[in-house]
Amino acid sequence: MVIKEYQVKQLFRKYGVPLLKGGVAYTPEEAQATAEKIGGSAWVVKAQVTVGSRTAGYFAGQGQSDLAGICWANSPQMVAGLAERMLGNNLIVPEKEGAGQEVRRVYVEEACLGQSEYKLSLRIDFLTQQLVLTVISAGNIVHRYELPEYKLNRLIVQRVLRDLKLKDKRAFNMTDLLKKLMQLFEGYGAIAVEFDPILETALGFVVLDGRIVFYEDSLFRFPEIEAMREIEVGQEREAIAKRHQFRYTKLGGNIACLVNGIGLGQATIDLIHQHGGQVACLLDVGTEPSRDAVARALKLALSDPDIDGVLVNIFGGITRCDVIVQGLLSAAHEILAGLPVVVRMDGTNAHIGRRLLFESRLPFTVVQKMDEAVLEIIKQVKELT
Amino acid sequence: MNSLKFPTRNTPILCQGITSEMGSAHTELALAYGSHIVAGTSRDKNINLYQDIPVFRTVQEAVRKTKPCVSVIFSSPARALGDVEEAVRARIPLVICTVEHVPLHDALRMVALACKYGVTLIGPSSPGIVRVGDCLAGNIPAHLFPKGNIGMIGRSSSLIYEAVQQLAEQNMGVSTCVALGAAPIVGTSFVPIWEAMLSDKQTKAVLVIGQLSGDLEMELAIVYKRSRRKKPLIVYIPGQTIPPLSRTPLLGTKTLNPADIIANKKDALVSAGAIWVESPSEMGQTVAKVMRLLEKKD
Repeated sequence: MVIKEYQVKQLFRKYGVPLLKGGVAYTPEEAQATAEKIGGSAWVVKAQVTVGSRTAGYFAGQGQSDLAGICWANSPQMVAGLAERMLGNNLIVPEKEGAGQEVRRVYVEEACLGQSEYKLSLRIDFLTQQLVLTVISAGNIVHRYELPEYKLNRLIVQRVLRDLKLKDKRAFNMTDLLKKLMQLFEGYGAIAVEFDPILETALGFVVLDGRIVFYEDSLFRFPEIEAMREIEVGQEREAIAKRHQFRYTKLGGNIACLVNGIGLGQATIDLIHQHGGQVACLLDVGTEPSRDAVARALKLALSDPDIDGVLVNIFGGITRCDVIVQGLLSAAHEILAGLPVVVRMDGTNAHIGRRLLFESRLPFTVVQKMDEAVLEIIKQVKELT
Repeated sequence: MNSLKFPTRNTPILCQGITSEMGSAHTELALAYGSHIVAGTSRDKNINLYQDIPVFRTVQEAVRKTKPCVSVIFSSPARALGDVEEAVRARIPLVICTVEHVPLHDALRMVALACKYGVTLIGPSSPGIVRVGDCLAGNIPAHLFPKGNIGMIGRSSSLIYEAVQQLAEQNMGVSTCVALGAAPIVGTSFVPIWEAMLSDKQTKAVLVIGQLSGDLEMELAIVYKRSRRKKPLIVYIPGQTIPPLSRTPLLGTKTLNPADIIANKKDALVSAGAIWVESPSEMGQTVAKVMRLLEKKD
């Protein structure tokens, strides 16, 4: 999970990270009032979205393509004007195709000039299972350090200071930033924390922006972060899935796959693609799903207008196939809507599951093997479209 | 770190969390399978015995009185770290943690602790180890596994069971299976398990079910290429046709296409001499083909 800049800054502020004066605004009037409260003669208005590089982004809609996601203003009235144009509109960023993300708030901050820029990033590298500190100094020189035992020790700090050629007060301030980066990373059990960029001003370092990438399975310890979760337009299905304890991944084709386990899910996707089908989404109910989770997953698939058919591929280990079938059957009303549903199940209690499906007299197609099931759903979907 | 030895029916096993719902259910299955469970631990102060197995409050006490060589942990995401820590500090040589959804930093701490104490940690979200027909340690559905001479190492469990079914359809079976789980951080990678399979007389060939994320397959490819002793290694990795995920890249990282990631792993493994399975429905057939060739050679 990723949160927005103004939320990240709330957390940074709590840990004493040096930030500029600023505040969040929901309306142009609020934006103007915030600018006036901050004072000074120049401000920055920043669209609050979680995607990509906002400076390179542009707004959807007529006459809006000159407006980036981050803009300068030299009067509170201009702040209000910019907020007016941003709020309620969609920001499109180069990294992500599509309609963009709706801007529901802006962050108004005092403008600031500085000499040199730095970037700090602390992240778990899932390839090597190492904790990696990346430091980018002026001129985009990248320094990379692996932190032994997931700790920021004195040796590493000294190496960073030497590589950045920082001394005295500047070295002291950079050390402080590194420590706060580590405290945030540990404090929130995060995957990554970044200060990006850090500006060096006459008064010292100041963090202009940053991000925290949270790990879903750590969030039960941080209800205050969970409360920041916001459902974006286009992400409603992911949110429903999360609420009912299964995982939904959108892919873009027209066949939905309901599976138990990510490995089997990816294998099923491969098989469908290898046979010329297109997968719309993966619904992963996990190892020990409840009947309700299975029913919700199937309903979610069948409620999507882009979907022409569902393939249920379950291999029961700890997962009991009879429980899966009970879930499928409790979504019976939707099944009768006429979309093909092909079920392949094997393993623990599969014979009970298959019997229940047969006795239900509902229009499931039940097949024995994985590749047969894939060919069958592709065939049925073709006939339908 | 000690080299990994697969538990047998003579290996004394401790079950941490023996009175939990999962713990008691899987202890019963393991006992029925023939596993030698010598002790359990429980937070419940009133239970001192479970199915004739002594139940202790602490791992330390269980170790002092029953000397287990393996601990299997059934716990919750919040408590898994504490339980692993207890087992590791008591220096039980092999710790199998079966808990799903462990917080990231807890998983890292477990791995660092196991490393420091020289303990082999399987997991933290592992279904466990089964020596087919002999010993079950964990929550693998052992009833699905026919006995045979194929060693199996894998990540995500349901795909492992699918592969077992395909082996059974080819009249083949499994010697030992170790499942690591799909979570991103693991205590023990494929390599130590591969080495144990090399020394295992019952294992004639090894089927690895890899994963898109992580680097375990690359590490195995390097070791396989270098090793003089060899058993056939057959690998399937799902996910090669998954569209690239768009997410904000972090500083100093590149986002790779799943197709490219798998192509890299395939190249490394094939050039090391491993046999590549292209489609998930061909895992069983491919292993059968390899075994026929092997028999001809003998």
